[in-house]
Amino acid sequence: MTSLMEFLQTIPQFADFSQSELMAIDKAFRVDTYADGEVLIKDGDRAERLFLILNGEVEVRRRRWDKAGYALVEKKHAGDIVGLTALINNEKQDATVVTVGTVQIASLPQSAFELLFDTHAPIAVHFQYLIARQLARDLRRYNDALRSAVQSGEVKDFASFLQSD
Amino acid sequence: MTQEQLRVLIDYFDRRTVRAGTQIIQDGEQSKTMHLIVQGRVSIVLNLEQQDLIVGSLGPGAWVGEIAVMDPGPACASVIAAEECDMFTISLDAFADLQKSHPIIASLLLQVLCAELAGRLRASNRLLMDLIAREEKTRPAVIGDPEWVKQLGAQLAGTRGKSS
Repeated sequence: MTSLMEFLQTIPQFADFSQSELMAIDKAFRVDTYADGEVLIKDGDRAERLFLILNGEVEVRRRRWDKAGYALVEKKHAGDIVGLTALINNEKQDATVVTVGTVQIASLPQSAFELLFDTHAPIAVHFQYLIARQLARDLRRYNDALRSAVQSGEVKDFASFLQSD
Repeated sequence: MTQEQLRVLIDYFDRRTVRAGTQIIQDGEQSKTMHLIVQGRVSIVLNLEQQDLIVGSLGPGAWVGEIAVMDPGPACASVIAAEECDMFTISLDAFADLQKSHPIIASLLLQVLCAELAGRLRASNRLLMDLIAREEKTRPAVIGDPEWVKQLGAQLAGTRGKSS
């Protein structure tokens, strides 16, 4: 089992931080282990926290256009952050996220982030940067998928495309 | 943001005026700067294999190039000045320096960028689900639909609903 401290020490952006600063992050987050098939985020729910995957995999499922269930659009892995878009812009969740196998996840409530920012601004800003990078990376992949559709004139195996990198 | 914070932030940006026709960002190339358009308009162009496709334009208040700064990699589209443009530009290095030297101010800028990126990501999600739905309903897909291409342009360029 990976502790959050151990995990953060593997991320280059946190390499310069002291043990006490990493401990501040460790205290702000809550680490939970989820069983296979648990719903981490439910479409339509209010966003209250973000989730950092420490190990394992989750599926992101979006509602189909004909309302006939949900379509798998991508998978997220260790190091990925999920639940961002709704939390940042104070909107309802627009996807359901389900665990695949046993998954260990650190979660951060919005209130804990604000407290972290008040007490350890530099490390909170670094974390904020990681969030921006995740958003930019996701957006790049979606834009690449859109571009591919324009280029080829068709949409095939969309989920595979998003997961290709 | 206070006046003092704004003054500090502005020092990290370069102000740049470019003539009509200037290539600000090249589709597919690495870019290490992001730009805030203050005045003028830019065209967003996809350099596809067989043609260049103009997918929209952006004006004052729009950011361009921020994806490549937050997640270094090739640009999603070309950005070309459609008329004389006045812009604030910040490099990746200057942004990193801002984070180290003024974390609170960097945080305020990151909040703006995160909100923009999150909104665009959500809109891209909708656009893709819409594309899949239309393809399932009526083949061939809607790639040639001018309205859809316009929406795509807004996504690739960096705004929601600001393109024209």
